Amino acid sequence: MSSMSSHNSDHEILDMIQNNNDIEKGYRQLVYKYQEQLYTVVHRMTNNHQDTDDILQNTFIKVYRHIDTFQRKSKLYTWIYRVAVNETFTYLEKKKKKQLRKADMSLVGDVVQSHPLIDGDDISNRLARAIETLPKKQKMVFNLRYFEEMPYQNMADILDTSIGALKASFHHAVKKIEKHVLKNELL
Amino acid sequence: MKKDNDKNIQEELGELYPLLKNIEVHRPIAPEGYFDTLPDRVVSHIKHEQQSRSTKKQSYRWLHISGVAASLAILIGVYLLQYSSNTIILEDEIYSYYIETGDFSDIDEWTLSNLTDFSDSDDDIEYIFNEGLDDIDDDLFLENY
Repeated sequence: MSSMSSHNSDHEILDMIQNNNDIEKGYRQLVYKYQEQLYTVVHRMTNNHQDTDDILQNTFIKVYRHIDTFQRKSKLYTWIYRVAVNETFTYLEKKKKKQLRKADMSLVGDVVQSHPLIDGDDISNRLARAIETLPKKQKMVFNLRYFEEMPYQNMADILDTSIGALKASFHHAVKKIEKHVLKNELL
Repeated sequence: MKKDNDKNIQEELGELYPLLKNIEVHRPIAPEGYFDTLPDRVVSHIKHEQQSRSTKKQSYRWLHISGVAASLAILIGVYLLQYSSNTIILEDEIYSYYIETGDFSDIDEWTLSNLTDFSDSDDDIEYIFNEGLDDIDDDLFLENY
């Protein structure tokens, strides 16, 4: 848990950073406010702490580099989530390429084996394994909706996709998971 | 950030796949103390980046000043070169004009005294006489030579 118990509003944080009032304090507040939410979302995609940490640092540094371009037309958390999601996709893509170069074609299997939340064979574990079989964008849609219970409108803002497309994607993801879980149930 | 006007997630899942509805959701757990140190690490990285940005800015400023100074020096050099070559061309042109036209009626004292090549050359003087340039101002000519 964060040691900073109360969070400033996004508006106050942006004032500190964009008006050069107290840039350092502003960033500290920003990281305190969003680190745990982002950690959860990113970790569900990477399934390991080290990658999550790298992505989170990159995300906050990107936010620092581009904060001047943020015009307050959208919500700060939507913008930060979008940066984090893009950073996650880029990171995973690079990692996948790296692993492919090493001719390690059993990426999915390895990730599932090392999944820290999978340690048995109950329904939760089967769900976790099933989620790992989803393509990364579908996986992100499923995670945001299922685990974070994020409204479709927010997801649309973050993923830059229509609500209809997101609902369809979530529906497909659920069907794939259902199929996967049922198949493993029979085995 | 939860909840909205959307259909409740549990209802949605209940319709799509009832099995998912009641699964216990695990939250990823970060190592102890992680969230206490991350802000410091990010801020320290940002400070470092700010410092290197300011160093770069200073380097760019000096580079800019040097560039402007060099450009000015080149422009001045080109201008001076052009000016001096223009002067040479002018003298050559005057020389050619008087030799070709043989019309020395409007030549002034200063020009005559500055046409060093012309004035010092016996060949040129001989040429003028041979070509029969009668309308040359004798007084002026004799006064200078």
